[in-house]
Amino acid sequence: MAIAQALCTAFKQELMLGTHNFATNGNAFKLALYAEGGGGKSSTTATLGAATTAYTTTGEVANSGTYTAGGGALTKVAPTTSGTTALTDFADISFTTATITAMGALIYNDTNSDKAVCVLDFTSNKTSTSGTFTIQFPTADASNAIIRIA
Amino acid sequence: MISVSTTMGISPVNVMTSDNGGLSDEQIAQMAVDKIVSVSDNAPDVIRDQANVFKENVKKILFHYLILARQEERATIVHTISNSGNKELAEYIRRL
Repeated sequence: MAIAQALCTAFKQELMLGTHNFATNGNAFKLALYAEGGGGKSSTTATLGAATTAYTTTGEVANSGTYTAGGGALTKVAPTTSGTTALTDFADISFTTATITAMGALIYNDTNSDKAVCVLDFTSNKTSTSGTFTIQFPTADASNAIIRIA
Repeated sequence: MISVSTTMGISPVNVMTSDNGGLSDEQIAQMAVDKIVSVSDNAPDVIRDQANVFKENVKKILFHYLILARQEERATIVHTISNSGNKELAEYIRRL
């Protein structure tokens, strides 16, 4: 599969190196959308997964509506704990008046060399036509939060 | 040797899209209720069924008040535009 949901391996290492700061006044993170099957820029196909190390334009969807190259800025929710699990969260993000077909997304650290955090696999193509494309993050609890360390 | 193991997890996201305009009231209500109520696929049947019934009820309430909020906001916009002398535009927006 060209886009496979994963926490990037490099990200796990970079956590230990203190590269990523998810505090509300910490690093800036962005979310970029990607297409499979030649739906992105220059008819390229994205290949994203655990081995992804940084943001790439290969396979990124074309500019449309409020979506521009590099994707949208994420609003962070400060990391917290629930029981013995640490978790962090982002506010939902929307691109409006956009014609987009995307199969997945990459969250990356816009402050630190666009280093990859995780790959999101939508499992099927999601399309908006002159409309809204919204990514809703899961409930921020110990079982469902977008990024968890148990 | 002493070692500590831990696991890191990532959850699937929910994607909502629309054509020729914004998200519908139904979609927004669904997004809201998905955040408010979550039940594990592994939960006992009785608990999961009860949670899902509760979820549907919450969704209906959210849907109702979302429509009301949109109507009330539109009424305020129509009133403001109408007062500024653009009665034709105000009527157009009222009919949306």
